Amino acid sequence: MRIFRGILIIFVGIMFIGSDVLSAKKRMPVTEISVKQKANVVIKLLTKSVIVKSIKNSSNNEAKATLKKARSLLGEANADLGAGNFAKADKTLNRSINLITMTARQVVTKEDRRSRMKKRYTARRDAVRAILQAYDRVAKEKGLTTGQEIRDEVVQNLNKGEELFRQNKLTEAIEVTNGTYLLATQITRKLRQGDVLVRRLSFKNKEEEYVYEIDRNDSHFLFLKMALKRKAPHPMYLKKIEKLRDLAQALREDAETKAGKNRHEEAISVLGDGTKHLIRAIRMAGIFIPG
Amino acid sequence: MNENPYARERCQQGWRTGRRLALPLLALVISLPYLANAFDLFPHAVAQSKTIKKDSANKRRPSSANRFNRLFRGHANFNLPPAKDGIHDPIIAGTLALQAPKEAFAELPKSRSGNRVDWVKALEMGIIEPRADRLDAEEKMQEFDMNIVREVKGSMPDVVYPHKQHTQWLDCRNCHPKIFIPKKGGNNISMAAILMGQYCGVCHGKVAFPVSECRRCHSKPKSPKQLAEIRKQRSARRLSTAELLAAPMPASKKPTVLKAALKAVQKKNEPPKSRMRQMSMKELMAKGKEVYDENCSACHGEKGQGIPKAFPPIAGSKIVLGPVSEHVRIVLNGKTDTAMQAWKDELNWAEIAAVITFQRNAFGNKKGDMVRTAQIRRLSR
Amino acid sequence: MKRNWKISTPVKFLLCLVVAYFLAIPSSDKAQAEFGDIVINNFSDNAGMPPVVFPHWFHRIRFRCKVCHSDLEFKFEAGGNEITMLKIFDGEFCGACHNGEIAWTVENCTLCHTGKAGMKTQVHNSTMELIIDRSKLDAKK
Repeated sequence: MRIFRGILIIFVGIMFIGSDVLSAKKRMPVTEISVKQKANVVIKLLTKSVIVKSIKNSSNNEAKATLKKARSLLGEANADLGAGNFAKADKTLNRSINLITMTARQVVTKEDRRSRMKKRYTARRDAVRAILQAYDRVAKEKGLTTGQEIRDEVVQNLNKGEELFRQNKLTEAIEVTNGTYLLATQITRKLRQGDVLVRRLSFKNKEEEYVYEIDRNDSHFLFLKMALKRKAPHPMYLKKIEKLRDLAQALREDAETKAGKNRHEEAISVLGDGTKHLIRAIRMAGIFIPG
Repeated sequence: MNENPYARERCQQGWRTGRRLALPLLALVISLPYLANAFDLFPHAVAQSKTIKKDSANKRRPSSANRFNRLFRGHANFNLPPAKDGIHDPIIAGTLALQAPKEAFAELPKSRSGNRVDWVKALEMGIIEPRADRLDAEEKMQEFDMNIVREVKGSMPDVVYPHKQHTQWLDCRNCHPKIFIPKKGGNNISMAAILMGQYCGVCHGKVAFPVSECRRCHSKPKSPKQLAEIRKQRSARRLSTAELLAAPMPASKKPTVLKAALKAVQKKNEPPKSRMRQMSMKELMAKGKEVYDENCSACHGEKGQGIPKAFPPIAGSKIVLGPVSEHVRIVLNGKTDTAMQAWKDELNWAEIAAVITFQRNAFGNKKGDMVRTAQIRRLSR
Repeated sequence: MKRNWKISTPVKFLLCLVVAYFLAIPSSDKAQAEFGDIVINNFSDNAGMPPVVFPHWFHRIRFRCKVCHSDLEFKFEAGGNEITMLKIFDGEFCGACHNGEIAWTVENCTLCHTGKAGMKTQVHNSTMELIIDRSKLDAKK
């Protein structure tokens, strides 16, 4: 009994201590299968990937030499795998990947980097412009008289950034614009903090209302599609739903022809009817939506 | 009873054995998960499909007819581990090393759609602490509190867009100006556009909660004044669903032909104008039938038969045959956590009185009650 | 000598635990991927690699949306960022964190490239998947 208990306690002790080792299996496992799969993947990295194409197209001899070395390391790893030494093979594969990682940095062309920086800069600059526009409009609405200096500073910095961009000093331009962006958002936030904007449903003319109704009709067609996919109603009800949908479709085409003839008010009421049929169909499919 | 002189000792021996065995057995039970990991013993470890397939090949599984709660997919279908979720390849070693979502979501507050996690709540409660900067863990997000209310047509509640919850995760630049122009009236948003992945649909329906959770956005109900106005604008006479479906559909699906068929049905079924004050039983039933066909029949059936396992029937319903006040309360206020909607904002009291009278006296129900507008008014308070 | 085969209470309790452990086997149903998982297959097919599956939920727990979508310039578009291993090794996109400092290194190829072969770029389980007929779209291509 004592021996049995002793063995069990030792066994459990090992389990607990060794649990780190065992839970490492939950991270990337280093088993024969996983290393074989990795080797397959690395072959593709060293033969078919975009990096290899870039290395071949570039004039960088160092990069080409490194690629050769990486491939030879891959050969070594495969040999190790064949011999059954997969832990060693894994390490060799990692070295190969690291070599390629370092080459990649040499091979990335200046044009690539520049275009990325340009995109970064233009995205930030456009955002600042839009926010500044919004700020100006809201400041006017609210009749704001103070805080003009900060706004001017934002504009100044924006121009400075633009100037740096034209001079091709992209990193500085991005830095300046980042600062401008933070400032612009700060002042706009302060201005609008706590406000509640209400966009009322008001239409300037019947044409606008017609556009709204068409969108609403479209939305309900899509809702019906979703409802049918999600709920899969009984075929008996499906027939009725399809009948209602066909009717709604007919009414929609009718409304479109009316709108083509500029009879928007009639088109709106016809569309309204069509949407009501769709709402009934959606409810029949099993989802309730208000009318 | 003869007392066995050895009984007490035996009993004590038993206890001693038990105590001795208890610790090792406890240790064994605790170490079972580790054993399972090490030796892939148990069938509910990840990627044991081979063993399961062997067993199930010989067993006959019960058909899907046996399945309970057919329409509800159930928790077994969501947050599946990567090896079983249908897009990860279980043969690749990496799939098995990935964390299962359920593990990570165990402590997070639940929600009804998407990841089944309420991310905003999780953030507010401090259960997760996502970084606001790639390198700096202490940096704070610049929160912005501004609500935008968008009115919508009909009795659908208005949309309230809260900047606060969004700026807890996003930067101004993420949406402005590429997705939304920061100007009132500058964005022509419609549900169709959202479903197709524009405006709100850039995130909602893909990464953030999908559009099936209507009330999270449509959270500002219309005021009684607005609802009254909507009711006034409704057309005087609408075709009920039953009439529409009963009408013979012409073979041609040309819009002109279908419209003519509609008009014919409309003309044929025009009922007499009913007075709203002090309606007789006959008028209550007629009006009630109209309202029922219009609003209730879609779910509860044209003959009050309901849809099995989805919507309960009206015919023989306990609620309909029970006390009037309970019946009225459910129609007025709806039933939480079901599809039964509150009708107090959609129908006026006279219409509700009529439809309740109709339900209590049709489809084989013979309560003989006549429910009055005044009763509804009293119960709606 | 007669042995005492009585099972004491603690032992019974432990046996119950063991039995319960075996009984707690969940049933499985039709598979449904995690919401927000993005399958990216822009260049993987050409290179013969399994496509990448990016799990949004895992990253959402650790980073706010702004970090990737604003600071790291990830667009809100599945497949729209044209991520290649070259860019990743250069420290762009995924490589900004998966460099051994913030997260694991790019040596773990099979932790990302876990998709089933041939899957199209998509946001899995999104609303658009419900609405758009994939077969028609693919036929057009």
